[in-house]
Amino acid sequence: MTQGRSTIKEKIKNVVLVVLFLFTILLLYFFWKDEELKEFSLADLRFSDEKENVIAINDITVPSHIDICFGNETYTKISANKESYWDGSDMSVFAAVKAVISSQDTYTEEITKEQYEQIMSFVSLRAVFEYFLPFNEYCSFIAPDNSSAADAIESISELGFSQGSTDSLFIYDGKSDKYFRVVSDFSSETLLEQASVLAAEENQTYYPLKQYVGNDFAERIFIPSILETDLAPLNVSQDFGEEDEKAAEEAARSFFSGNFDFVRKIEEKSGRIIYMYGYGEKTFTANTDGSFVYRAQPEKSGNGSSADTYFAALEKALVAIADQGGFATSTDQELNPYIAYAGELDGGGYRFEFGFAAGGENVYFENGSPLEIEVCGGQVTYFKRHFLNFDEQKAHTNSFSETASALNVIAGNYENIYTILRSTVQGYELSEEERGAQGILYNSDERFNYVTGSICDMSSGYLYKEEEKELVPCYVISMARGNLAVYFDIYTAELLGFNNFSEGRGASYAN
Amino acid sequence: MKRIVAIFLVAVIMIFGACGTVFAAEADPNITIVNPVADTPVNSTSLLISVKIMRPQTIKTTVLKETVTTQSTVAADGTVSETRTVTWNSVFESENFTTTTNLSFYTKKLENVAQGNYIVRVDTIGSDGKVLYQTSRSVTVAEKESEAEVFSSNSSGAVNNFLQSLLKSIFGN
Repeated sequence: MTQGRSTIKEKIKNVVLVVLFLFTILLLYFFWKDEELKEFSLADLRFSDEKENVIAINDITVPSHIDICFGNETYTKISANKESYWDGSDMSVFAAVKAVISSQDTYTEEITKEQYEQIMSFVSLRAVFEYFLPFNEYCSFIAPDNSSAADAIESISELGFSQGSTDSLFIYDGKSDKYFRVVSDFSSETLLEQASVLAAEENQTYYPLKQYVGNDFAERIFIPSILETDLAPLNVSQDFGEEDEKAAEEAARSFFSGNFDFVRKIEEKSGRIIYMYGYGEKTFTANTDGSFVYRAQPEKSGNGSSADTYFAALEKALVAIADQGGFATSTDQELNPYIAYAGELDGGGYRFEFGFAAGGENVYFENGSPLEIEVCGGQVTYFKRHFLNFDEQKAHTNSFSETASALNVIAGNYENIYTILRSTVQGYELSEEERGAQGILYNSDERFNYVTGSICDMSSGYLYKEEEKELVPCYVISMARGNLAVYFDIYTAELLGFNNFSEGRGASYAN
Repeated sequence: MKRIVAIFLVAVIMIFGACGTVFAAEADPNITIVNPVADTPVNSTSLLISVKIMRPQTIKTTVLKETVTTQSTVAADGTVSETRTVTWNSVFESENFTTTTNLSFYTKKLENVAQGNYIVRVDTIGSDGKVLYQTSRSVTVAEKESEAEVFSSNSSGAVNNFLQSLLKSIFGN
């Protein structure tokens, strides 16, 4: 009887010990996480798949725009709806590219620029990538068993198909400024028929700039003859409000392994808050404009490790972005992202910049991009996020009106553009023919020709005006080999601002 | 024979008379018709008109299409003669376009343009509404000729293919 009681006592003691042990763990959890009891939920303890919200590389690696030639010197440019052409349910340029790359019977040859331009004057399409995309890595990524990889091709700037040679995939490598064709047993005839019919029904006609102004340009710049749009200005609020210190703190905590051990908090008079780990190995800065910047010193000194392949770095970047809430704002608004820039870093590794769209139109900033991330040696060394909250439903009014003539935006503002070019773009030298006395062009015709000759692309979108807290529908003129973007109001042709990339991109240039 | 020559002369006079109405005044030095390009046929069913205006003024653009009618006449003596009459009919007439800047462009895209000869005429309109200058450009819309192959379908590709396959089989991909 006595022995039985003592056994029961021992069992009770064991249970109590287990309960105390669990309480100790729970208390330690609250202590380390620095959380209040009311914030705790069982959902926090569930096992979650970290990759659940990671954007697939194939979903983000899409062209910046797709240009279609109808074969009679008329073109169209597909920007907002490019995904449905690239890999849609009805047609897929991606599937065609993959078919060529996967083909076991291919040969690759370098062609001249003249041949490339000539072949693209037939009914043709061009998927234009305005960011760095390495050719061989991309081939291996989309078709691991491919036999098309060619060492001569460094990057993919354009992928094209043409009715002038339906058994060929045409590639423009912007990095080496070379043109290639990959001949295979795949025929692009059906794809081109589908694309040209669909594009003619859905999109507006564009002409090359040279047809409007008479000059011959090195770059192909497509300008709409008439552009009608229903884009409306959008009011925005910043991602983290000035008073929303808590949200910024949460974002900071996620960069420091979930706790603030060995982290100092510095509050500046301007309202900026800096969290610093150790002796500055990692810093997190919450800016008053709703943006935040995280920097970490690379753990390995010197160059990035050999593991820093483009797609490994991109995947690391996408996982890091997902860990920080993906492309959702602090009010859980899901943004529609795209790659605005990708490039190799000087010291090794890669830098990616992501933009987001509003009503299908890209949103541009006068300084930097909404999300910038650098991966070096398999480690995220820089992360800047500047998201905005807005009501996307209000982007389209369904009341279409004619915009300011794209051509007259240039003609009416070429003096302004010339001044901006001269004052911002460093190292973009004029040729001897273009150069006037002391590098200044006094003649207005020369200035107009210089400005139009510097244009790389013209498109529409939204510009974020920080002071007005507004997204303004705009024309974007990309100039000087992509080193400068100038923005104009799409309805009034008024100069809105510009973004100067010529001083470089990268953490060392960021605020 | 004399009658035929006389009819032919009448026809020629009518042609130049019709053209005379098109080219009534001298060209405006501040207007350049950039597109259509001179002496370059258009091989498309759409026609882009681009006019460069180099001072603040008002213009009006008209597109005229050449129509040729041929009439056969049988004389009392049985001689058959043909009279060719050329007329220029307006297929497009723009509203007045006024610019206040020193450089601007007037652009217009015409769709479903039939094959034939056209004249693009730009009238410079004065403040009193009178035509001060007439700048024009003739253009022919014609069927597109078949384009030559850019890449010859000779055996160079096959040779390249063979060589590449051989190199791949030796050294791997």
